[in-house]
Amino acid sequence: MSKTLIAAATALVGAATVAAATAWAATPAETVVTRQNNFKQMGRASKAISDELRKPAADLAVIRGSAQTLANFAPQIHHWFPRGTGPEAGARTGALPVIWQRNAQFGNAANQLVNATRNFQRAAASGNVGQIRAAFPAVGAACKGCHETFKGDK
Amino acid sequence: MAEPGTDAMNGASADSGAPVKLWDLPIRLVHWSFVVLLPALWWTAEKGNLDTHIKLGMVMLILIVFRILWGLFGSSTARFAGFVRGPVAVGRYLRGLFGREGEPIVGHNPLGALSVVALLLLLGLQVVLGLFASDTDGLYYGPLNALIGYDAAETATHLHHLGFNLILAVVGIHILAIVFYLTVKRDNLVGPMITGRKRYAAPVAAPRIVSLWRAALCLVLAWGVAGWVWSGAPGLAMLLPTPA
Repeated sequence: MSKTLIAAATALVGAATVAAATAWAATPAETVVTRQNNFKQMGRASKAISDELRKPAADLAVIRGSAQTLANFAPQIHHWFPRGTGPEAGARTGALPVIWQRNAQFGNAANQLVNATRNFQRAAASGNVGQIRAAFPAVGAACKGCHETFKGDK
Repeated sequence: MAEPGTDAMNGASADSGAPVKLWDLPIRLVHWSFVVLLPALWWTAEKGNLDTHIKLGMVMLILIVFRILWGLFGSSTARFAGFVRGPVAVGRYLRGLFGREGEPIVGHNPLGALSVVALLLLLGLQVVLGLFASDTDGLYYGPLNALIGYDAAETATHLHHLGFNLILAVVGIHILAIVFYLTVKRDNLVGPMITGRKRYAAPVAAPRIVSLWRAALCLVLAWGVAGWVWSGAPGLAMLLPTPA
Protein backbone atom coordinates (compact mmCIF):
# COMPACT_ATOMS: atom_id res chain seq x y z
CA MET A 1 0.00 0.00 0.00
CA SER A 2 2.74 2.42 0.99
CA LYS A 3 4.56 1.41 -2.18
CA THR A 4 1.53 2.48 -4.19
CA LEU A 5 1.56 5.84 -2.44
CA ILE A 6 5.26 6.26 -3.10
CA ALA A 7 4.79 5.38 -6.75
CA ALA A 8 1.88 7.80 -7.08
CA ALA A 9 3.80 10.53 -5.28
CA THR A 10 6.81 9.90 -7.51
CA ALA A 11 4.64 10.28 -10.57
CA LEU A 12 3.16 13.50 -9.22
CA VAL A 13 6.50 15.00 -8.27
CA GLY A 14 7.85 14.02 -11.67
CA ALA A 15 4.96 15.66 -13.48
CA ALA A 16 5.32 18.76 -11.30
CA THR A 17 9.03 18.95 -12.07
CA VAL A 18 8.36 18.87 -15.78
CA ALA A 19 5.62 21.46 -15.48
CA ALA A 20 7.95 23.73 -13.50
CA ALA A 21 10.77 23.24 -15.97
CA THR A 22 8.64 24.17 -18.97
CA ALA A 23 6.76 27.02 -17.29
CA TRP A 24 9.85 29.15 -16.83
CA ALA A 25 12.63 29.42 -19.34
CA ALA A 26 15.45 27.37 -17.85
CA THR A 27 19.12 27.82 -18.67
CA PRO A 28 20.56 25.02 -20.87
CA ALA A 29 22.43 23.62 -17.85
CA GLU A 30 19.23 23.57 -15.82
CA THR A 31 17.41 21.82 -18.64
CA VAL A 32 20.12 19.14 -18.68
CA VAL A 33 19.77 18.54 -14.94
CA THR A 34 15.96 18.42 -15.08
CA ARG A 35 16.10 16.04 -18.03
CA GLN A 36 18.50 13.75 -16.19
CA ASN A 37 16.28 13.75 -13.09
CA ASN A 38 13.29 12.85 -15.25
CA PHE A 39 15.14 9.98 -16.88
CA LYS A 40 16.21 8.81 -13.43
CA GLN A 41 12.55 8.74 -12.37
CA MET A 42 11.84 6.61 -15.42
CA GLY A 43 14.76 4.37 -14.50
CA ARG A 44 13.38 3.99 -10.97
CA ALA A 45 9.92 3.14 -12.27
CA SER A 46 11.37 0.66 -14.75
CA LYS A 47 13.46 -1.03 -12.06
CA ALA A 48 10.48 -1.19 -9.70
CA ILE A 49 8.55 -3.12 -12.36
CA SER A 50 11.49 -5.35 -13.18
CA ASP A 51 12.02 -6.12 -9.46
CA GLU A 52 8.35 -7.03 -9.00
CA LEU A 53 8.37 -9.30 -12.04
CA ARG A 54 11.28 -11.24 -10.54
CA LYS A 55 9.35 -11.94 -7.34
CA PRO A 56 7.23 -15.07 -6.94
CA ALA A 57 4.17 -12.83 -6.40
CA ALA A 58 4.38 -9.47 -8.16
CA ASP A 59 2.73 -6.48 -6.45
CA LEU A 60 0.32 -5.22 -9.12
CA ALA A 61 -0.14 -1.85 -7.41
CA VAL A 62 3.59 -1.10 -7.70
CA ILE A 63 3.57 -2.18 -11.34
CA ARG A 64 0.53 -0.03 -12.16
CA GLY A 65 1.94 3.05 -10.43
CA SER A 66 5.26 2.66 -12.21
CA ALA A 67 3.56 1.99 -15.55
CA GLN A 68 1.69 5.27 -15.04
CA THR A 69 4.95 7.12 -14.36
CA LEU A 70 6.53 5.73 -17.54
CA ALA A 71 3.48 6.49 -19.68
CA ASN A 72 3.33 10.05 -18.30
CA PHE A 73 6.97 10.81 -18.93
CA ALA A 74 7.47 9.15 -22.34
CA PRO A 75 5.50 11.67 -24.48
CA GLN A 76 7.34 14.57 -22.78
CA ILE A 77 10.75 13.42 -23.96
CA HIS A 78 10.21 15.41 -27.17
CA HIS A 79 10.34 18.61 -25.11
CA TRP A 80 13.39 17.71 -23.02
CA PHE A 81 15.95 18.31 -25.75
CA PRO A 82 15.70 21.94 -26.95
CA ARG A 83 18.57 23.07 -29.16
CA GLY A 84 21.61 24.16 -27.18
CA THR A 85 21.24 21.54 -24.44
CA GLY A 86 23.79 19.12 -25.87
CA PRO A 87 27.46 18.89 -24.85
CA GLU A 88 27.71 22.67 -25.48
CA ALA A 89 25.35 23.36 -22.53
CA GLY A 90 28.24 23.30 -20.09
CA ALA A 91 26.69 20.56 -17.94
CA ARG A 92 27.81 16.95 -17.91
CA THR A 93 25.51 15.25 -20.36
CA GLY A 94 25.43 12.06 -22.38
CA ALA A 95 23.17 13.68 -24.99
CA LEU A 96 24.98 13.37 -28.33
CA PRO A 97 24.88 16.11 -31.02
CA VAL A 98 23.30 13.56 -33.37
CA ILE A 99 20.01 14.20 -31.49
CA TRP A 100 19.75 17.56 -33.24
CA GLN A 101 21.42 16.47 -36.48
CA ARG A 102 18.93 13.66 -37.03
CA ASN A 103 16.05 15.11 -35.07
CA ALA A 104 13.28 13.29 -36.98
CA GLN A 105 14.92 9.94 -36.27
CA PHE A 106 15.27 10.93 -32.62
CA GLY A 107 11.57 11.80 -32.49
CA ASN A 108 10.69 8.40 -33.96
CA ALA A 109 12.84 6.66 -31.38
CA ALA A 110 11.06 8.57 -28.60
CA ASN A 111 7.70 7.59 -30.12
CA GLN A 112 8.70 3.94 -29.85
CA LEU A 113 8.85 4.45 -26.12
CA VAL A 114 5.52 6.27 -26.07
CA ASN A 115 3.90 3.27 -27.79
CA ALA A 116 5.67 0.72 -25.63
CA THR A 117 4.75 2.44 -22.36
CA ARG A 118 1.11 2.83 -23.51
CA ASN A 119 0.92 -0.86 -24.33
CA PHE A 120 2.53 -1.69 -21.05
CA GLN A 121 0.08 0.48 -19.16
CA ARG A 122 -2.78 -1.41 -20.79
CA ALA A 123 -1.18 -4.71 -19.78
CA ALA A 124 -0.70 -3.45 -16.21
CA ALA A 125 -4.35 -2.40 -16.06
CA SER A 126 -5.43 -5.88 -17.18
CA GLY A 127 -3.83 -7.33 -14.06
CA ASN A 128 -2.73 -10.39 -16.02
CA VAL A 129 0.89 -11.05 -14.97
CA GLY A 130 1.57 -13.08 -18.13
CA GLN A 131 0.42 -10.17 -20.27
CA ILE A 132 2.45 -7.72 -18.14
CA ARG A 133 5.54 -9.87 -18.45
CA ALA A 134 5.08 -10.08 -22.23
CA ALA A 135 4.68 -6.31 -22.66
CA PHE A 136 7.64 -5.21 -20.54
CA PRO A 137 10.64 -6.12 -22.75
CA ALA A 138 9.40 -3.71 -25.43
CA VAL A 139 9.85 -0.84 -22.95
CA GLY A 140 13.50 -1.71 -22.30
CA ALA A 141 14.03 -2.29 -26.01
CA ALA A 142 12.69 1.20 -26.76
CA CYS A 143 15.06 2.71 -24.17
CA LYS A 144 17.95 0.85 -25.74
CA GLY A 145 16.83 1.63 -29.28
CA CYS A 146 17.20 5.33 -28.60
CA HIS A 147 20.23 5.17 -26.30
CA GLU A 148 22.31 3.20 -28.80
CA THR A 149 22.33 6.03 -31.28
CA PHE A 150 21.70 9.15 -29.25
CA LYS A 151 23.29 8.63 -25.83
CA GLY A 152 26.98 8.57 -25.03
CA ASP A 153 28.80 8.37 -21.71
CA LYS A 154 28.37 11.29 -19.37
CA MET B 1 65.62 -24.46 5.88
CA ALA B 2 62.32 -24.60 7.71
CA GLU B 3 59.85 -22.25 6.08
CA PRO B 4 56.43 -21.81 7.60
CA GLY B 5 53.90 -23.38 5.32
CA THR B 6 56.25 -26.01 4.03
CA ASP B 7 55.89 -29.47 5.34
CA ALA B 8 58.10 -32.45 5.65
CA MET B 9 55.31 -34.73 4.47
CA ASN B 10 56.59 -35.02 0.93
CA GLY B 11 59.78 -36.01 2.60
CA ALA B 12 63.16 -35.14 1.36
CA SER B 13 64.53 -31.79 0.32
CA ALA B 14 64.90 -31.66 -3.40
CA ASP B 15 68.32 -32.26 -4.78
CA SER B 16 70.11 -29.25 -6.07
CA GLY B 17 69.01 -28.68 -9.64
CA ALA B 18 66.17 -31.18 -9.55
CA PRO B 19 62.76 -29.62 -10.30
CA VAL B 20 60.55 -29.02 -7.28
CA LYS B 21 56.75 -29.23 -7.56
CA LEU B 22 55.89 -25.65 -6.66
CA TRP B 23 52.36 -24.88 -7.91
CA ASP B 24 49.65 -27.50 -7.85
CA LEU B 25 47.21 -28.01 -10.72
CA PRO B 26 44.29 -26.02 -9.20
CA ILE B 27 46.48 -22.91 -8.68
CA ARG B 28 47.68 -23.02 -12.26
CA LEU B 29 44.21 -23.68 -13.69
CA VAL B 30 42.72 -20.81 -11.70
CA HIS B 31 45.55 -18.48 -12.70
CA TRP B 32 45.32 -19.15 -16.43
CA SER B 33 41.51 -19.07 -16.29
CA PHE B 34 41.83 -15.52 -14.96
CA VAL B 35 44.11 -14.68 -17.90
CA VAL B 36 41.49 -15.94 -20.37
CA LEU B 37 38.41 -14.68 -18.51
CA LEU B 38 39.50 -11.11 -17.87
CA PRO B 39 39.87 -10.09 -21.54
CA ALA B 40 36.70 -12.04 -22.38
CA LEU B 41 34.77 -10.15 -19.69
CA TRP B 42 36.13 -6.85 -20.96
CA TRP B 43 35.28 -7.70 -24.57
CA THR B 44 31.72 -8.87 -23.87
CA ALA B 45 31.07 -5.72 -21.80
CA GLU B 46 32.58 -3.52 -24.51
CA LYS B 47 30.43 -5.12 -27.24
CA GLY B 48 27.28 -4.99 -25.10
CA ASN B 49 27.04 -8.80 -25.08
CA LEU B 50 25.89 -8.69 -21.49
CA ASP B 51 24.19 -12.07 -21.50
CA THR B 52 27.56 -13.75 -21.99
CA HIS B 53 29.27 -11.18 -19.76
CA ILE B 54 27.04 -12.10 -16.81
CA LYS B 55 27.56 -15.85 -17.35
CA LEU B 56 31.34 -15.40 -17.52
CA GLY B 57 31.09 -13.24 -14.40
CA MET B 58 29.49 -16.19 -12.61
CA VAL B 59 32.39 -18.40 -13.71
CA MET B 60 34.70 -15.73 -12.29
CA LEU B 61 32.74 -15.86 -9.02
CA ILE B 62 33.18 -19.64 -8.79
CA LEU B 63 36.92 -19.28 -9.44
CA ILE B 64 37.35 -16.57 -6.80
CA VAL B 65 35.41 -18.44 -4.13
CA PHE B 66 37.41 -21.54 -5.02
CA ARG B 67 40.71 -19.64 -4.79
CA ILE B 68 39.78 -18.28 -1.35
CA LEU B 69 38.88 -21.79 -0.15
CA TRP B 70 42.11 -23.07 -1.69
CA GLY B 71 43.97 -20.38 0.22
CA LEU B 72 42.66 -21.98 3.41
CA PHE B 73 42.66 -25.70 2.61
CA GLY B 74 44.95 -26.07 -0.43
CA SER B 75 48.60 -26.93 -0.94
CA SER B 76 51.14 -25.10 1.21
CA THR B 77 52.11 -22.63 -1.57
CA ALA B 78 48.42 -21.76 -2.11
CA ARG B 79 47.65 -20.98 1.53
CA PHE B 80 47.36 -17.36 2.59
CA ALA B 81 48.83 -18.23 5.99
CA GLY B 82 51.87 -19.57 4.15
CA PHE B 83 52.69 -16.53 2.03
CA VAL B 84 50.96 -13.38 3.30
CA ARG B 85 53.55 -11.48 5.35
CA GLY B 86 53.65 -8.26 7.33
CA PRO B 87 55.18 -4.93 6.25
CA VAL B 88 58.50 -5.73 7.98
CA ALA B 89 59.00 -8.87 5.89
CA VAL B 90 58.00 -6.98 2.74
CA GLY B 91 60.49 -4.19 3.57
CA ARG B 92 63.27 -6.66 4.22
CA TYR B 93 62.51 -8.43 0.95
CA LEU B 94 62.50 -5.12 -0.96
CA ARG B 95 65.92 -4.15 0.42
CA GLY B 96 67.31 -7.53 -0.55
CA LEU B 97 65.82 -7.33 -4.04
CA PHE B 98 68.71 -5.42 -5.58
CA GLY B 99 71.42 -6.77 -3.31
CA ARG B 100 72.98 -10.17 -2.89
CA GLU B 101 70.92 -13.25 -3.43
CA GLY B 102 68.99 -14.17 -0.33
CA GLU B 103 67.69 -17.59 0.52
CA PRO B 104 65.51 -19.03 -2.21
CA ILE B 105 61.79 -18.59 -1.63
CA VAL B 106 59.58 -21.52 -2.53
CA GLY B 107 56.21 -20.00 -3.44
CA HIS B 108 55.12 -16.37 -3.40
CA ASN B 109 57.68 -13.89 -2.07
CA PRO B 110 56.40 -11.29 0.45
CA LEU B 111 56.00 -8.64 -2.28
CA GLY B 112 54.30 -10.99 -4.72
CA ALA B 113 51.96 -11.98 -1.92
CA LEU B 114 50.68 -8.39 -1.82
CA SER B 115 49.99 -8.57 -5.55
CA VAL B 116 48.09 -11.86 -5.15
CA VAL B 117 45.96 -10.43 -2.34
CA ALA B 118 45.34 -7.15 -4.21
CA LEU B 119 44.27 -8.91 -7.40
CA LEU B 120 42.04 -11.37 -5.60
CA LEU B 121 40.42 -8.59 -3.59
CA LEU B 122 39.87 -6.39 -6.65
CA LEU B 123 38.50 -9.22 -8.77
CA GLY B 124 36.23 -10.25 -5.90
CA LEU B 125 35.00 -6.70 -5.40
CA GLN B 126 34.44 -6.33 -9.14
CA VAL B 127 32.35 -9.50 -9.29
CA VAL B 128 30.30 -8.45 -6.25
CA LEU B 129 29.63 -5.01 -7.81
CA GLY B 130 28.62 -6.76 -11.02
CA LEU B 131 26.10 -8.91 -9.13
CA PHE B 132 24.23 -5.73 -8.19
CA ALA B 133 24.76 -3.80 -11.44
CA SER B 134 22.48 -3.39 -14.44
CA ASP B 135 22.66 -1.74 -17.86
CA THR B 136 21.04 1.67 -18.44
CA ASP B 137 17.97 0.16 -20.06
CA GLY B 138 17.29 -2.42 -17.37
CA LEU B 139 17.51 -5.21 -19.96
CA TYR B 140 20.44 -6.96 -18.27
CA TYR B 141 21.11 -7.14 -14.56
CA GLY B 142 23.20 -9.07 -12.10
CA PRO B 143 21.44 -11.75 -10.03
CA LEU B 144 21.38 -9.56 -6.90
CA ASN B 145 20.24 -6.34 -8.63
CA ALA B 146 16.68 -6.68 -7.28
CA LEU B 147 17.96 -6.67 -3.68
CA ILE B 148 18.91 -2.98 -3.84
CA GLY B 149 17.22 0.21 -5.01
CA TYR B 150 17.74 2.09 -8.27
CA ASP B 151 20.27 4.60 -6.93
CA ALA B 152 22.39 2.00 -5.14
CA ALA B 153 22.34 -0.15 -8.28
CA GLU B 154 23.42 2.86 -10.35
CA THR B 155 26.34 3.45 -7.98
CA ALA B 156 27.31 -0.24 -8.14
CA THR B 157 27.25 -0.09 -11.94
CA HIS B 158 29.37 3.06 -11.96
CA LEU B 159 31.94 1.50 -9.60
CA HIS B 160 31.88 -1.69 -11.70
CA HIS B 161 33.02 0.43 -14.67
CA LEU B 162 35.72 2.19 -12.64
CA GLY B 163 36.84 -1.07 -11.03
CA PHE B 164 38.08 -2.45 -14.31
CA ASN B 165 40.65 0.36 -14.64
CA LEU B 166 41.97 -0.47 -11.18
CA ILE B 167 42.25 -4.15 -12.11
CA LEU B 168 44.07 -3.19 -15.32
CA ALA B 169 46.56 -1.14 -13.29
CA VAL B 170 47.32 -3.99 -10.89
CA VAL B 171 47.56 -6.51 -13.76
CA GLY B 172 50.00 -4.07 -15.40
CA ILE B 173 52.16 -3.98 -12.27
CA HIS B 174 51.95 -7.79 -12.06
CA ILE B 175 53.23 -8.15 -15.65
CA LEU B 176 55.95 -5.51 -15.15
CA ALA B 177 57.15 -7.41 -12.09
CA ILE B 178 57.35 -10.63 -14.13
CA VAL B 179 59.40 -8.81 -16.79
CA PHE B 180 61.64 -7.37 -14.05
CA TYR B 181 62.31 -10.82 -12.57
CA LEU B 182 62.97 -12.26 -16.02
CA THR B 183 65.39 -9.57 -17.21
CA VAL B 184 67.05 -8.22 -14.05
CA LYS B 185 66.85 -11.19 -11.69
CA ARG B 186 67.11 -13.82 -14.48
CA ASP B 187 64.24 -15.64 -12.84
CA ASN B 188 61.50 -17.03 -15.11
CA LEU B 189 58.22 -17.00 -13.19
CA VAL B 190 55.97 -17.88 -16.13
CA GLY B 191 57.44 -21.34 -16.79
CA PRO B 192 56.69 -22.71 -13.31
CA MET B 193 53.16 -21.26 -13.49
CA ILE B 194 52.67 -23.46 -16.60
CA THR B 195 54.52 -26.64 -15.61
CA GLY B 196 54.16 -26.28 -11.85
CA ARG B 197 57.87 -27.09 -11.44
CA LYS B 198 60.94 -25.01 -10.79
CA ARG B 199 64.65 -25.74 -10.41
CA TYR B 200 66.52 -24.24 -7.48
CA ALA B 201 70.27 -23.80 -7.26
CA ALA B 202 70.31 -24.85 -3.62
CA PRO B 203 68.32 -27.67 -2.05
CA VAL B 204 64.95 -26.49 -0.72
CA ALA B 205 62.16 -28.09 1.28
CA ALA B 206 59.45 -29.33 -1.07
CA PRO B 207 56.01 -27.73 -0.64
CA ARG B 208 53.21 -29.94 0.57
CA ILE B 209 50.93 -30.63 -2.40
CA VAL B 210 47.49 -31.83 -1.30
CA SER B 211 45.17 -34.29 -3.03
CA LEU B 212 42.98 -33.20 -5.95
CA TRP B 213 39.99 -34.64 -4.08
CA ARG B 214 40.28 -31.70 -1.76
CA ALA B 215 40.16 -29.39 -4.79
CA ALA B 216 37.05 -31.17 -6.05
CA LEU B 217 35.39 -30.59 -2.68
CA CYS B 218 36.33 -26.88 -2.69
CA LEU B 219 35.01 -26.60 -6.27
CA VAL B 220 31.66 -28.15 -5.31
CA LEU B 221 31.43 -25.71 -2.41
CA ALA B 222 32.29 -22.72 -4.66
CA TRP B 223 29.75 -23.95 -7.22
CA GLY B 224 27.15 -24.09 -4.46
CA VAL B 225 27.85 -20.52 -3.39
CA ALA B 226 27.55 -19.33 -7.00
CA GLY B 227 24.30 -21.26 -7.42
CA TRP B 228 22.85 -19.61 -4.34
CA VAL B 229 23.89 -16.17 -5.65
CA TRP B 230 22.48 -16.94 -9.12
CA SER B 231 19.06 -17.66 -7.63
CA GLY B 232 19.09 -14.21 -6.02
CA ALA B 233 20.73 -15.21 -2.73
CA PRO B 234 17.57 -16.24 -0.84
CA GLY B 235 17.89 -15.25 2.80
CA LEU B 236 20.35 -12.44 2.11
CA ALA B 237 17.59 -9.83 1.59
CA MET B 238 16.90 -9.82 5.34
CA LEU B 239 20.41 -8.55 6.03
CA LEU B 240 20.17 -5.67 3.57
CA PRO B 241 18.28 -2.39 4.10
CA THR B 242 14.96 -2.33 2.24
CA PRO B 243 15.18 -0.87 -1.28
CA ALA B 244 14.39 2.84 -1.41
